[in-house]
Amino acid sequence: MQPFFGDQWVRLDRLTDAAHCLRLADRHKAEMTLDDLERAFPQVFIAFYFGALPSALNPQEVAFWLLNNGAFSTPQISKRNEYGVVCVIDPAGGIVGTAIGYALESLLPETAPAAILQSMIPALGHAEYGSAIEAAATSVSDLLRPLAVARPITQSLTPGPHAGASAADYGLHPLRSGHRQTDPTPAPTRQKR
Amino acid sequence: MALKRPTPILIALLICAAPLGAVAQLSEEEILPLPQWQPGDAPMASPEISNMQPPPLLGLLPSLTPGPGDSNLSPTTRPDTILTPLLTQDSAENSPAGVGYRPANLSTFLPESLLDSGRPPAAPPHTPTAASMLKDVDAEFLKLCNGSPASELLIDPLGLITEVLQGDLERFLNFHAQEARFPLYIVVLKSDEKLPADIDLMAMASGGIAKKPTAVLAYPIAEPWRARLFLPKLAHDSASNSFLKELLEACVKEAMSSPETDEQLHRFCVELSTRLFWLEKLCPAVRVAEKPAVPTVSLQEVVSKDSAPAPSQTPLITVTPPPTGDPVLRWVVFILCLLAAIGTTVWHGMRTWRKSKARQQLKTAWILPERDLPQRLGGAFSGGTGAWTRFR
Repeated sequence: MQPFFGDQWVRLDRLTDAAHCLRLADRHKAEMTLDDLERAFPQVFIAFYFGALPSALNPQEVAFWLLNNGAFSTPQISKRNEYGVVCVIDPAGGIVGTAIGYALESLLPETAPAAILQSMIPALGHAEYGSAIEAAATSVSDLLRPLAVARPITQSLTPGPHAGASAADYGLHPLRSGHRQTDPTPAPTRQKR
Repeated sequence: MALKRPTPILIALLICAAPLGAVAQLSEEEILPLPQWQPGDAPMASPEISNMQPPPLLGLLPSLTPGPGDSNLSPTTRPDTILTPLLTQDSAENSPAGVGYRPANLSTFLPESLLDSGRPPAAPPHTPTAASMLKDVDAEFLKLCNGSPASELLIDPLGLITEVLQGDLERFLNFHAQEARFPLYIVVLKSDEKLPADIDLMAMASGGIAKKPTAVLAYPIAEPWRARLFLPKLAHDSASNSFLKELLEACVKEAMSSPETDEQLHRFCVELSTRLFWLEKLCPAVRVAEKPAVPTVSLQEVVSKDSAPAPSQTPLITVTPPPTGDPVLRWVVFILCLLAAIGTTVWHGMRTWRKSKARQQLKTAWILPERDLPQRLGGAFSGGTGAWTRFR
């Protein structure tokens, strides 16, 4: 894959319609479906790519490369690609493939990718791509819910009693939180000879 | 000349005597002075006196209301100009002399002894007789009723009503018998008596009741709610139960509007007479050719809910079931309504369940456990696990 696409990172949305096959209503509906999924599973996201693929590549390989080299613009940037599911659909070629990250691979059975595709095929056969997205999201949700632990979402309009320690307590998550902290100690001054 | 001489002397004497006469008149006025009225001497009208009812002095004093004979009087002597009665719309209870009469406070002008002399003693309020205290009329009473002449429509062998009312009622009943189709016989009972269950009303009034269709009213004095009305079978069957019930209730209500026992009976009869005129309009006319040679007259009692004499008798007012249609159609309608109700309930339940589920999903987050897998195929986030297929 690297000789074909290279090893550069690419920026993608959750819905990338390079084939221009999604209608506006379907796109809005699919966005709402994906929002619900990501609200229910804060760690997980699904990305869809619609476009014509080179004949030498199958959609599973393209999904594998996108998952390893893509920066997906999800509402929560902190989501890790290990919990991602990427679906690649070639409307012209009539093929569809999917790839899942390491975290989901460790939880889901081996038949899970095939099950996700099977849920999409009826809608894709009728060129109803919005319905295919909803079917895939529903399938992933049904597969993951038995494996997850339910926790109530606590949304408070006022800061908690322990708020004030950091900006994250107020919902301000720094983009470079994973970077190495700068050394607060001053650099040693060079002594003049 | 002799007469001419004393004339100046007489004139002088008369002139001198005139001031003396005036002086004598003034002295008489000083001896018998007129009463001097001061503002504080006016009689004070107490509230008790003001609330007193007019005394029965209508025969002694001129009428307080304009009567038929007052038109001949001069304007200055007519009662309304003398006492200036306040012609207002008073209730019947406060105006025994008629509408527009307001009781005048005669105690302001007349001594108290004169006012109280003609007042009849107030009758004590009647206590309703308990059902257990009621007794049947005796055989002597029935014998007197049976021996009463057929022409006497008011049968009061015990003389329970006053002579004045008796005369009024007799004239009233005779007038009713002349004008109405069903004459009305009234049997006056004591307040603690009732007709026996096996009484033969046809034998009363020397058989006058059996000769032609008549209405018979058994009226216990002072207890109009226990009055029993017997109508000819023709009239009874022609009228509806609601009409007969309303007839009795209206008569009782009219009688109860007065506290006086005689007035109760009078009002009861007047109302009943009016209702009997209405009733006869509901009865079919009997042709002469169809009339049998021997008339079969029978009486049927009007029974209402409030004055049912005996529970053993079958009440005339029965609850009729609603009209029934096709039973199959009723079952079909019932099943359709039942299915509609079930469908509506299921639809509403599913809608509520979906809403609650969606609301619950919005409040619940599903957290997956974190596990580390060794990297494969050089992938930092995915090892190539997936699938692909053709959908066309």
